[in-house]
Order: sequence, then structure tokens, then C-alpha cells
Amino acid sequence: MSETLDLEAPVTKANSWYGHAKPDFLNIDEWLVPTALSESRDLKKSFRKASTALIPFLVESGNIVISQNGFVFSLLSVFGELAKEIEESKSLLRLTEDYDDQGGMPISEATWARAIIFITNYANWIYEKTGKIIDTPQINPGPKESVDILWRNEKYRLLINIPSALNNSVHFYGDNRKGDDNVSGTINENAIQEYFAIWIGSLSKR
Amino acid sequence: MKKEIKWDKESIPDQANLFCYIHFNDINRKTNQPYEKAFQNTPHIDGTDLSADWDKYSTPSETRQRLSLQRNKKGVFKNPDNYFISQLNVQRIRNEVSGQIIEHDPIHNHSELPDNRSHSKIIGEKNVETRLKFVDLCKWAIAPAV
Repeated sequence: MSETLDLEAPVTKANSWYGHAKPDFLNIDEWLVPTALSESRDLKKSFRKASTALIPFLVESGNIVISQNGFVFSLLSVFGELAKEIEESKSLLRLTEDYDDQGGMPISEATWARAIIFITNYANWIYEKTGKIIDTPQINPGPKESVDILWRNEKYRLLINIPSALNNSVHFYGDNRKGDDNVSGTINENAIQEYFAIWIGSLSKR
Repeated sequence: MKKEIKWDKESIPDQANLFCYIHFNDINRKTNQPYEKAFQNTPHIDGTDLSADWDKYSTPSETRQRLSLQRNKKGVFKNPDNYFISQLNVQRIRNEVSGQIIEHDPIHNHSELPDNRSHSKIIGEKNVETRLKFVDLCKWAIAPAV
């Protein structure tokens, strides 16, 4: 857990998930703990330092590497379109105070990073388990400095909200656009939920 | 001496339409659709309703132009050119979006807001479900240029 973390220790976890998307990646008992990003400045630094150190491993494995101010995210090579969307979503970090004339506040890097971790974890996991490439979601500003992740196609729509406050739940709602076959509730963002992954997998193009 | 205006609240029928203004920064430039966050209650912290104008007493252009009489958080008058107008059918809101109540709420003799007989409120929590559905229900009355 985070209280035993040695900030100066070398990265030793890379080989355990090198080249693979594991469901326990960024789990609560790992050293890369998204829930602690804004709780501990030191841990945030550690996350950046550690994840930057992983770049050579990721590039060597053929993964797509996306970085932002020291945060590093890895996607399997089939997710070129998703990587492009994530790159474009960095524009969310340039929103300034009152950008919407309604008192909208900037979105923090930590909140954006949690949204990207959420998406990349599910995309990689679903591909590894089922061979499906999920449809590319929109990554949009949400209410109260949150980030919305949106899938909308002819058959389905799904909205997931990543809140800015770590103690607030991630809420989601999805249906078949007729209001039927719906799923809704809250979800633990720190681990893959298989039922939810199956639902996202149904948004697959291929 | 300014004449005091008094408009009665009326019942809004199903066939009515409501106009909501959408800031250009709340529009996805790739899809030309509003972001789901555009349909949230105001004020953002503890608001209970989303403002709209009833088409019985307003046109989309009038809704847009009235923004020039409102101030933003910095106290500066809003620029109507920064906004586009979406249209929502009342019956579809009532039938398809749960937990929403539509109420006519004319504004008159307010200290900060312009008189507006068409002003209405869409009352109810704007959670992920309602925000998602509002975007699918709305169509542009004054659309952003593609």
C-alpha cells in the first residue's frame, strides 16, 4: 500500500505486465495507485517517475505510448484510433476558468489521467480476453471539473463520468438508444469489472 | 416611472418546444453536438433546474439575443455570438427522461435578469442518464457552423 512505498526504489514491476494488459494494472495494492494521485504529492511524483521509466519497455513491446507531463499510458498496437482520441483529449487540460460562461473550472491533470487509465485498461483487457477492438469513445469535459467518457453509435449509447473528487463514485448509464436493455450505477475505477467490460465490448466495431 | 410587469405562470403543453442556449465551448467540434455537460442545472454547485425558453413566447433568435443582457461570473455581459440554441420537445422530455418536471417561470422585475415571459425551468437531477438523453433529444434551432 502507499504508506510503505519507497519513492527512491527502482521500478521492479515492469516485467510482470510487460507487453500485456493485466486487469490488476494500477490496482489499489500496486505502486501506481490512481486514487492517490492527488492525495499525495510525493506519490504523484513517484507515479510520473516510475511510469516514465517504463517507456523503453513499452516501446520495445510494440505498444502505443502516450505521455502527458510525465504521465505515461500504454495501449496495445491495434488501438491507433483510440490513441489519437486520447491525444486530442489533452485539449481538456487547456480549459480555463469560466470557459463556458457558466463558471466552468479547469479539469485537473489527475482527473484526466484517471479517465485515460480507465479507458486504456478496459480497451487492452477486452482485446486480450475477447479479441474485440472497442469502439473509440469521446473524451469530453463533464460537470464540476469531471471528465465524461461517451460511446454513442447506431445501436448503443453509454456515458461514464469520472468525477474530480476521489471520494465521489464513477457513475455510468447505457442503453440501446430506445431506453431498453439499460445498465446504470456506480463502478470501481481501480479494477476491471467483467460485467461492465462485456457491456463495453458490445460497443465493439469488430 | 417604470411599469411593473406581472405575468401569470401557465401550464406548458406537450406539443410545446423549449429553447436552451449552449456555449460554443460546450459543443463537440467534430460531431457538432452539445457535450452532455451542457445539460446541467444552474448554478452549477447547487442548482435544481436548467433554464429554458418556451416557444410560445420566444423565438430562438430572441433567446439568443437576451443573453446580451446577462452577465457572466466575471460581471461581463455575455456575447450572444458565443452561443447556439438547442430545441427540446416537451412531450419527449416527459416521456423519455425520468425525473424531470417542466415548469413555466416567467421572470419580471428581477434585479439582475431581463424580463422574460418565456422563461421556464426543467427541474430535476441531471445525472449521467438524463444528460445523455437530453443530447439525443435536442436538435439545433440555431446551429453552429459546420
